[in-house]
Amino acid sequence: MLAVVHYVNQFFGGLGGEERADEPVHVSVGAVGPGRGLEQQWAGVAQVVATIIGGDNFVSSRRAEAEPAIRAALEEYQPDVLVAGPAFNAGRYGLACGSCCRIAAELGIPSVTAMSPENPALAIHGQHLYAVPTGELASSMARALPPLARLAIKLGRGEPLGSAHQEGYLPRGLRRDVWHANIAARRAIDMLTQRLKGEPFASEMPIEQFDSVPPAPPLRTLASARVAVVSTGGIVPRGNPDRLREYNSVAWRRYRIADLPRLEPGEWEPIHGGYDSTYAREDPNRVVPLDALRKLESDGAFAALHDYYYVTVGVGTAVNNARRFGEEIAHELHAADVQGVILTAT
Amino acid sequence: MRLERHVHDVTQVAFGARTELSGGQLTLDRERLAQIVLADDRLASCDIQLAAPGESARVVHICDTVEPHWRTAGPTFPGWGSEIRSVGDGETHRLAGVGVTACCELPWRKTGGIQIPRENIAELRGQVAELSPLGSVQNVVLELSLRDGLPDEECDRAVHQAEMVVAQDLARAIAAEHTADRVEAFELTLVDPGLPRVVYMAQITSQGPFAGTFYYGGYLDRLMPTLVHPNEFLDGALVDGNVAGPNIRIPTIVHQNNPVITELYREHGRTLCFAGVVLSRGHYYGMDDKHRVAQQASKLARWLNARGAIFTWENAGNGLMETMYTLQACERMGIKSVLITFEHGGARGDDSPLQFYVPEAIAMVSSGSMDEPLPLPEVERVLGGGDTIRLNPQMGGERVAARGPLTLDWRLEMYASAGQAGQTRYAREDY
Amino acid sequence: MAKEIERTGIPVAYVTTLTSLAEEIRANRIVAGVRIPHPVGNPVLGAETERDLRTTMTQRALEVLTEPVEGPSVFRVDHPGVR
Repeated sequence: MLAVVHYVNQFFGGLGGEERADEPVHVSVGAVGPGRGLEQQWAGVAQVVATIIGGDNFVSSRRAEAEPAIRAALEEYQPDVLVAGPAFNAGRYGLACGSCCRIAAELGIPSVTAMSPENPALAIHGQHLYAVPTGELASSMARALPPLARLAIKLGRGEPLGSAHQEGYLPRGLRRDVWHANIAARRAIDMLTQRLKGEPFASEMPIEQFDSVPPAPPLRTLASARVAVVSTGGIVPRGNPDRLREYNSVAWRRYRIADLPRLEPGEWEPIHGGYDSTYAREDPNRVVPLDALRKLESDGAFAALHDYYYVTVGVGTAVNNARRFGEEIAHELHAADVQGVILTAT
Repeated sequence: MRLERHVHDVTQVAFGARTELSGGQLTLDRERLAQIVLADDRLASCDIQLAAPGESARVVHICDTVEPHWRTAGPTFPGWGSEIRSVGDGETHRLAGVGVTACCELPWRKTGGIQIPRENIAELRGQVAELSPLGSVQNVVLELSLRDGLPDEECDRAVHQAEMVVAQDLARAIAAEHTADRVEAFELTLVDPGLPRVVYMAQITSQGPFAGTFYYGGYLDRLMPTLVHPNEFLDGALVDGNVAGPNIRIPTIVHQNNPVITELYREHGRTLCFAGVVLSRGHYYGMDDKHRVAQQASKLARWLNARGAIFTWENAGNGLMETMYTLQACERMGIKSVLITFEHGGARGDDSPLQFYVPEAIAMVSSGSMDEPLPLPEVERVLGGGDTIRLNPQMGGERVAARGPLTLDWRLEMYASAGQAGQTRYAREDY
Repeated sequence: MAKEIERTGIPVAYVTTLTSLAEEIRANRIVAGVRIPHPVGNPVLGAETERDLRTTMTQRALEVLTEPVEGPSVFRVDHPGVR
């Protein structure tokens, strides 16, 4: 018989609604509320040995007290698996579930939760949470429990999990290799046939939403600004002395341009593998406009051009790498009091 | 148009006194074949090697692979030293289970950009062998070298011409004496009008020598979307010249057996009506051209009265934008679309799979990641010429021993490994 | 990369031909480039006209750094050399 600890909020713990959201974390022996529904699903294979109940406000805003209490409960009961929720579309409850799962993971206890795909907690906990998708509202509880119960058993038994699609949990932003029985062309035609018949189908790849960045405040006056030029067009000194890659870049470099009026053809070359480099080779300023920047600098359009130019190759670049490059370059720019950047891409 | 391919199945190859096929074993006259190749004075040398799938062997310097075909009437591989006349109709003999591969160290004259004829490598053993067409055919490998001083386009055409004269010669010799094991017929017959009409949206890449696709022997660099008959793929109208993009190219032998086309034909009259093929080029350098492609391609799909569409593309990077915009335009006209695409995602699968989407791309099929490093074992044989490979053109080219073991950082050099015509089983999944 | 630099508070004028790609990944200040292989150049122009084009585009990119924006915004350069 698998031992399960279940986490619920004040409402599903039977204490009340929003007025009880400051309820401190405490433990009730055995199953409470939806935990009884889970036990029905498990039919004797697993049981809720204890239910951790926490008020949504308490757990989300008094973490220094809430988290040790959750940890202590898990350490005391040593369950085979932790189940948290379902949280449906409740944001604070979803976050609390995510925190519980994180704490369980730190203790080496497998965990699973359930919430609506729109719950903001998913964006925060991302790649680490097994979450079964539910409807928005608690009225979808009956539909949510069976897949949650089933996944809890698998995790509790230490069984390997299949893909997100096979097992019914939400994609976590992690993908792994698989060899299907059929070639992609066959799978594509089968998927199209399902669509044409109006049958449900499962895309093999999710559409990604890219995150927004709050726009940096505009420069008040250009005339007094220090500006830097950065490029992903792969224009490097002749001979590519730092061996930057033509694809799948893992590094960036800076090169001193302080005394240069322009990039001289022949002294700089394009090593980017993803575009026809003929024009950039003839005149590298077509990708990195140093000549124009010098002219505008001497005309007083802006105060000064930073001594260094920053470069990488922007094709096949992992997004995580690109982020890291941006952070590292920004660090240097701040240290040099650079106030604005022109970044050219090819 | 009705194409009948008379299929002669080959399960082994060996050298022999003459070219013949018996009990599945193809023997071929090595000297004679080398001589016909060398009749083209652009080529300085030609050595022919054989290798079976499953052997401990690696093929390098691959330029392209073609399946032996011979058309009994009219030109085979039109535009390649032969008349330009439409194919896809009539009788063609095909040696199934054989690939003729031209290998040659094409000149590296640039250190950056698209048109570098990079190293193309294929494994014949192990699961990774499934990622290239060479892993499932008997291989006739032409180890070629070129005369000095040829311009890029002549190099490009010479190596392709070589593989095609050999391929044709083999198929013609066999067709003359051997009765086909089976006949496969391809015709867009009239079917139940209630069946949904499905169009194949095939995007290729073409950006000049070493980076092009040939249609009837001409580069498709300036292609605006057009209609082609699926039989033209199956009958040698398209030849792949994209040595510059080893992993993201669709070799000629894959075009000749394009699985989207053969599977749509299999379903024709059963679950759907195969309406035709829209051929387009991607990776144009301006937004305006990308939108022109999308508008024209989707308009052709609508003219074919398509209710569904299968999309494949070739190349990488911004080439995906033409495909996505075309898919978007099709979906907005009610044409339900499915896209086959490779993904990135990083070696560990925790990075973005693609860099561009449209919200309408709700049905996608994965052909796996190109980001994962591939450890290649030591092999007993290296075919293709010499025993080194060239890497890192951006450093002027660096030579590395080809026999292995070696680990390539990502799959750039692995021949056709991005599976862009949907020809492989490798994919990624969310977990 | 542009977004990460921007996240630290430095405005970035992102010059690219693929403006829709830039909008999709949510870069904020996007300046439309000429063509992928030469975002701030145009080889069909004579040398002097091309330099003039580049100066105009660079000036625009600098001015964009002074523009308040609320989210991804595309700025185009008005010059006959940009198609």
